[in-house]
Amino acid sequence: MNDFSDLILLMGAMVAFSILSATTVRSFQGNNEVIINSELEYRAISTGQAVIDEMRWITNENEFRSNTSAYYFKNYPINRTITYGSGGEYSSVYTIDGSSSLISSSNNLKKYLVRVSVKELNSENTPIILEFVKSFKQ
Amino acid sequence: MNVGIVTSFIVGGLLLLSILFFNAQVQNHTQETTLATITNQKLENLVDLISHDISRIGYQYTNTVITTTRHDEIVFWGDIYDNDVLDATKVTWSWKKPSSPVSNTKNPNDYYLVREGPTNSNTDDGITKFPVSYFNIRYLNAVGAATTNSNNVKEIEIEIIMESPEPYYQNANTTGPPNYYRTVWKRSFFPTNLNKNYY
Repeated sequence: MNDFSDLILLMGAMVAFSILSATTVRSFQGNNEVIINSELEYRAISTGQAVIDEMRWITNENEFRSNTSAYYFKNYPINRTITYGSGGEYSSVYTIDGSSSLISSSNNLKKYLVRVSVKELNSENTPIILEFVKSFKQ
Repeated sequence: MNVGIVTSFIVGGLLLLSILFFNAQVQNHTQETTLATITNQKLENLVDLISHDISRIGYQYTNTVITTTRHDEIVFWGDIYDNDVLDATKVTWSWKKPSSPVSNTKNPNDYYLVREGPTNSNTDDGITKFPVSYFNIRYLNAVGAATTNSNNVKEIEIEIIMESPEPYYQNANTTGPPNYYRTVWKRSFFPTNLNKNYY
């Protein structure tokens, strides 16, 4: 090298390259987080849908009343481990919570609003919330 | 030998190598992201279709609804589409492992999941194929216990694992072991027409 100006130019190039690398890696990290979180959310929705699907066929109205011992969500929130793969190679733990409240009552019909929330235990996602209305003929 | 030129070559070479590796890394990551997006989209399409079919099990049909209850195959009857001229039709979802591997992809783990059923208003036995890496069905009765008696089935649990057709690599070295992007979906269904007796 002839003088220090070359060295300074080289250092500048290295700093510029480092900044570019760091920015790109941060962008990669962001992409990965989005992909992973969206997958966890997708699976959480499936879990919530299964809970709602099951509750559609409950015939005992007391399971929808929060002041009864039969209340479906009496012991909630719960953690449910779901395994995936032929030998259960993977598993995820989901925190499931729910509530039911009477939203309409008449002489011949009662309607309950059921709200189910599901969140993957280790994710930083906000829980997904699904709602449905269950009616009971009086 | 000019020390300055040699030093410049070494430093320039190192910088060039860094840029090359960086470029390879960017390419691999872009490939991974693209494969992830495509695989998730394909899984979502498959889930939409299978969810629609399963929720229609037994609709407008009064005989034995489910005729095959294997872990890799389900055969059932139902009116899948209301707006066609076909009434209840037979629908088969069957995972063809090991008889039907997917040969036009690099992934050695995928086998065809075949749907045979109505695909348009005139076809009641159209065939649609999906490459999946794992497919499993469990049949459960009213108390959540596994059953093989199709008349007792109230809950159907389906699991699908799908992998990307092409590999991506963790490092810039593409001669290493290939990775296939993998995504999974699992859900329990309580189809209306299998449960309405309890309603």
